[in-house]
Amino acid sequence: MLNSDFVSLASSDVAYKNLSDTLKAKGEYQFLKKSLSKGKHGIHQGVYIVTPSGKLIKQIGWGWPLPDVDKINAQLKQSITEYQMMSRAERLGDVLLTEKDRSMPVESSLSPPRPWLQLRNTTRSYQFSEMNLFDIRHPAFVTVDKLWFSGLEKLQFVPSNTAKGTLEKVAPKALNTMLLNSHLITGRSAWWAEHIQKAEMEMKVVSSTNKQVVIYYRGTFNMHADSKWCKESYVGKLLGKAAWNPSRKQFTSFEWVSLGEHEIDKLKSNMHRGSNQSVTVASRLVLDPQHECEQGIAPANWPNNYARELRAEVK
Amino acid sequence: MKKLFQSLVLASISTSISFADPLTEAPPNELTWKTYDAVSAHASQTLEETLYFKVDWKNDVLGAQREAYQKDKPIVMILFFGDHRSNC
Repeated sequence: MLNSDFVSLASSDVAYKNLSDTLKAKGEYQFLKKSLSKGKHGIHQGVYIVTPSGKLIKQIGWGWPLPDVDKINAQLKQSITEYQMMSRAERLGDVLLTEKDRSMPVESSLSPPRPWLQLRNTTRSYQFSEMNLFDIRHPAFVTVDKLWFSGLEKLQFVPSNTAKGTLEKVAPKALNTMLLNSHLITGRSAWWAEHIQKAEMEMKVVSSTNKQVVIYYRGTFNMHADSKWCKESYVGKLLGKAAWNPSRKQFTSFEWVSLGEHEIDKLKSNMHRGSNQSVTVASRLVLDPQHECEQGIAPANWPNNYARELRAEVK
Repeated sequence: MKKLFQSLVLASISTSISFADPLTEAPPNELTWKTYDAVSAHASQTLEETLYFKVDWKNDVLGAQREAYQKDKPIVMILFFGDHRSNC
């Protein structure tokens, strides 16, 4: 229905609200403002059905924190009916926006150099006592992020000797980007390098040909923070498998899976519920499948938590 | 917001939401090669969650209004803080 009966838009209300007055005066922002002027909160987070003429048909949403799919389905169908009952003038109005009406600058699409290792990360907690859908650790929620390694960094995950049976250690520092950017836990925490108490990973070549080197990984991590901004710990293990093409110097498959205990000493009222401080959490990192709507989106902590030389490489 | 987006996509294809698997799975005692696939599956997005990627999302109001006008269709407008990962 979203593809066939509607045009679907997903965008940031905050980005529109933060535009300059000059850009807000243009047609695009004025259309958005007009469309939501009869909504409860104007331009605000939510799901709305509007006409191309800028008339609000309905605000969609039923049930919180667990939306009622059947009722939302009914709302969508009712919106289509209402739209079809309008006159052509009421549906379309007489304004077709053009580039001169643009308020929101075209998003600059970030694209790392081809040799980089681009991973996509999903993380989900397991059930825990007192779990509540308000809590970001609830297993109904999956955290999605990206993790980038430069062309040089990724070589740290390939043994220097690719003969079958070779066992080598990964330099602990190579794991910092993954650990400090919270890729093994749900949500994001303010980890610093000194919070990493243990970061060990070894890699073993399990098969090797001229075309493909299969590598298995085994890692152990221990993090503990007691700063003003982060009072948390993480203890976990990681296993992984990857296939490396030695001539192209690229991974053709890659999967790291972790399982650990994440403990938060000080729960936050805007993110957590109940008194349970510790949850078991699973994480998975794979080659980024480059979903169309995620293209051009950088890792959540980009560019702040990436080295300056890496930032300089990304256009 | 994340659940609302997911519900919107599911509602648009008249599919019931299913939280059964990620909610009831107990974690294994430890991560081994025997438990690897199960832990990997738990951390992955469910089929319902990946339906989001099948929608042809427009990223700005201007593009959506233009297409809606030309195709004579209403606009489903999701406004959120953040990006398509909808982690906020």
